[in-house]
Amino acid sequence: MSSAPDFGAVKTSAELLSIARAMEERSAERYRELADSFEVACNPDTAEAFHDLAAGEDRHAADFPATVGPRPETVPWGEEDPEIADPDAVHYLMHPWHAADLALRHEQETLALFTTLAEKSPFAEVRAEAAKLVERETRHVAEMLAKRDALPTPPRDWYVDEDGPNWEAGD
Amino acid sequence: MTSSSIPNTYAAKDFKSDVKPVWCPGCGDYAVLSSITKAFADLNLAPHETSVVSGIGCSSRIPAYTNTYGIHSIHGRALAVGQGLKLARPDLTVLVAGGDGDGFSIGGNHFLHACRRNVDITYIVMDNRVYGMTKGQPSPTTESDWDASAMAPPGGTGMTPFHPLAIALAAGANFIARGFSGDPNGTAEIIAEAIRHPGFSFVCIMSPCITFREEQREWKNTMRQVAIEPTTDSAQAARRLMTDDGYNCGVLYRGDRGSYGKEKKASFKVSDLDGEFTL
Ligand SMILES: Cc1ncc(C[n+]2csc(CCOP(=O)(O)OP(=O)(O)O)c2C)c(N)n1
Ligand code: SF4
Ligand SMILES: [Mg+2]
Repeated sequence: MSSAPDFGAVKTSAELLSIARAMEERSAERYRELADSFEVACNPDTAEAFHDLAAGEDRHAADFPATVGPRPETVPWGEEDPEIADPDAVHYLMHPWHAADLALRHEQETLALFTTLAEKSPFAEVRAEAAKLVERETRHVAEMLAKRDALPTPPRDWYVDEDGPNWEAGD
Repeated sequence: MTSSSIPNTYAAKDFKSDVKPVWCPGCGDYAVLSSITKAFADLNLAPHETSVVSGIGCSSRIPAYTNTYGIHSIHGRALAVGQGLKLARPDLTVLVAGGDGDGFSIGGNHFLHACRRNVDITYIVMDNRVYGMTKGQPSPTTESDWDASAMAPPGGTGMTPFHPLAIALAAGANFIARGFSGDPNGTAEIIAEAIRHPGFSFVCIMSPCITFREEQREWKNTMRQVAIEPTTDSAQAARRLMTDDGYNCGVLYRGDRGSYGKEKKASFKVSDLDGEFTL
């Protein structure tokens, strides 16, 4: 349900930097919320994976200069930040590999967004700043890919729960 | 509705409590919680000016997760408690929240009369078409042939699903909207508008129960923004709602009835009441 991006909405490089920082911060918040939900759901490995992802996003946010003024709560090019994981994109039995895979997809979407902004923004200073963000996000994608591939691949039936919540007599 | 005089004093996170939700990972209610707290912040409310009242159910746990006044009341009675609170404390913004079972089964009668009474509160139903908390029984909004749960009768209930928005309109609700948990920013805007609108505002938020109705994950591909302007004409709204397929999100009706109790005094003296009995 997202609307068409309006790349002219960001007019200065300072604005773009504060949005990029806010995206990393919000992404860290979301990963922390997901970590909490996996702690409650007794899946400590995936909880730890999300805590780890949150710490990574904290580091990414800290790479940016501190923002002046209020944090932009929404991005001007659509309804949702591409950096942020959907709260419903998870399953209670998912493995740390899935968490890293989810994070990889979001890093890739963010990279795609900044790539388009670097090409399409009507403002030269925004195009230049976006090009720098493309370099950073390319690094983040490579790091996340390496992180995911270093984790054990889940078994094919990872989602099967023989004592699941919807268990039926005779199953 | 009240608002603080200092702009943007509180951010959405200031309206979240430190209690970790016990919802299943992936439950739509997480996003609804975010939309509610974002709406409070966007309206520039303060936690002490705001209150969240609920019944019983997974969705009804929401007052524990908000840092406002809150009452986690009795199954089906959230609206009775919320209306009472608003009448006693008209200065508070009162948001009543819960599930489709809480609001339309056991609380169905309160729902009808709250629409008629038109007290200035906002009612959010997180509709997942199931009783999530009690492990998957069909609710009034469940499709008549749904029997995928161990708790549903074979072949489904065979009963016509309740149409909460059409019923709200017929019963007199002053503001009617549908949101989707998969669009938290859009839903936050709808909630903010509902709170701003005088009288009884009803927002039905489609919020998947990914545990007992896993197929609802598909809603992200079926929900859509309504392409039409909200109407103030109840006859037109009725036509719209009766032809609605359940996937249109946005504000569908904005009424102009004055809210209940508006003209009444916020407080009264017992001596005034005594005067009414003087012969
Ligand atoms: C008086 C009473 N009757 C029945 C129950 C059992 N009960 C608890 S929650 C619930 C239904 C919840 O469904 P819903 O409101 O849709 O919330 P969800 O869990 O789906 O969010 C029922 C029947 C109860 N707690 N109290
Ligand atoms: S049972 Fe369903 S409604 Fe309840 S927390 Fe889990 S997903 Fe959400
Ligand atoms: Mg329900």
